[in-house]
Amino acid sequence: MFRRIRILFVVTILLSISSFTQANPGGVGDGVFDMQCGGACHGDSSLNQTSSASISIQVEGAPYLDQPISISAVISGAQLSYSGDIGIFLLTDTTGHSDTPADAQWEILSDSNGGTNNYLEGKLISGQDNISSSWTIKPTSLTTTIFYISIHHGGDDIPYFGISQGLEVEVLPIPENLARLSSDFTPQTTRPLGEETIVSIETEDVSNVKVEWKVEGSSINTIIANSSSEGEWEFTAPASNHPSTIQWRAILEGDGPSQTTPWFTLVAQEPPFEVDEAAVYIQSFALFIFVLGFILSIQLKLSNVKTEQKHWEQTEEVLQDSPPNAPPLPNGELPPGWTMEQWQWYGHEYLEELKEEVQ
Amino acid sequence: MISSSTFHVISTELVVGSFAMSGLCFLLHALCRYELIKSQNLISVTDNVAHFALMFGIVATPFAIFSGISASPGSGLSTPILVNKMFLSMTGLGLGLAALISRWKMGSSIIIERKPMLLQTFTGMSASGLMLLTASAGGTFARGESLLDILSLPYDIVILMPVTISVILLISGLATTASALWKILGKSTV
Repeated sequence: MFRRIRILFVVTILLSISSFTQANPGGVGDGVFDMQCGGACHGDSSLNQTSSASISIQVEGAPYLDQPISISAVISGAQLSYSGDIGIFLLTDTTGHSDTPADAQWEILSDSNGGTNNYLEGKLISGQDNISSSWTIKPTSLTTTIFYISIHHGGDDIPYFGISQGLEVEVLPIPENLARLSSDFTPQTTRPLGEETIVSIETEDVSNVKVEWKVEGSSINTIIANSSSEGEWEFTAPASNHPSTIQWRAILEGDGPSQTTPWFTLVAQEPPFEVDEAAVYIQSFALFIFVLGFILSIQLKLSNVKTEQKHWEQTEEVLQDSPPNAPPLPNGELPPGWTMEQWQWYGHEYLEELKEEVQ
Repeated sequence: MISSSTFHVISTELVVGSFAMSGLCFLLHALCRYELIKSQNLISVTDNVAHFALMFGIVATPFAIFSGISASPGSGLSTPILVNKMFLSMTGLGLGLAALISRWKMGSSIIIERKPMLLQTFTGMSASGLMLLTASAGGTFARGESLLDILSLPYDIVILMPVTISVILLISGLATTASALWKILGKSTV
């Protein structure tokens, strides 16, 4: 029996492992991944086929040192509609490793999903044939970088992979008196539902700030930001009662050249659900094993295993065989040195020996 | 090669079908025992079908759980529904396995005598109920609706015990299970 259980266990483990080593059609979630994730996200990367999707990439904003620019990508093609799910990378080379923006001295300030990741997952909405993503990034050194957009998606049970043409961006030194964002400015990317949000902007060489904001698919609204202190400005984003995204940009004016920042994304969302996965797995297994043991123990007490056991158990009956009938005592007395138990078992032998001696 | 999500659909259909069949047979068996249904043949048939369907469902359950984790977006436990599905399916698996081991190793006595038979019926039907509840939660997660939505079940509430309590429960469960199996295997009538 134990051999069969062992075989069943091994087969179960092997089959379970196979499901983990396949592609992840449900995705792996947004994150910071290099293109080598083609192995992790799509199972065996040698199984990938080339996607026929079209990928366009464009940059918005002047690439000054420590100043943000926006890179956006639009991916389109009928092949995307097979699965609907798509993973989109922003990469800085095509070697497959050390190719994130951070590896090329660029910092991601925000992405269109409300995070700060170079890998985003999206879903093609039914009826559409394209999906777009964007990143707001800033250079932290004077460098020239070629950006690529890479995509992963499924279809016909086949993992597909695609990569765009490169887009070269050369970082320039900041012109004198350029009205600009502070080098340590980091935009807010998420906010809670149902609350107005005060967005802060840190600037340098700026005397006036106008802010344009829009909800996806609607017209642009313009407001004047208030100065809260030297080099700090604020504006209020209206509350959103359901998950939504607004985009905003600042028009910075000062003594030097004016500058318009790229679009920043502010996502209103419910707080993400977080749970200690180890605690969940331990509790799940504890519930399983506790229920198993509890029911077996009660069933053991209630059932008549003992009664049934006695019915079939005959070992004691075999061992406790009754002695043969005791022979009659000679002269009505036990022979000297005998006990009654000895007489019951061996008395007849004594009588036979006595009879032979007499003859 | 099929994807995890397709494999999950296949395995969950097997699990749900098997457990539903098993639960129905446990119910019919109890009705026969109480002579609400008078059929001697049905007693034997429902006993066999209930336990064989239960065994099949138990074999398919781990595949459903693992493929579900693999197919779900992100880490696999990204929403309260998925956590509750994990708890429900593992508890159902424990109940189902207990019913199967009881019937296999303790013999027919547990479905003849009244109290063990009631416990066996309760265990089998509870396992089925929890598996159907798990499937319902899956429907709510994937499609946003399920037949059991009329009960307004609180899928968005997760009762997560501290790890210490879980470990204590796990250790006591292991001890109880080992003790029970030791006695059952030592006195098996099969």
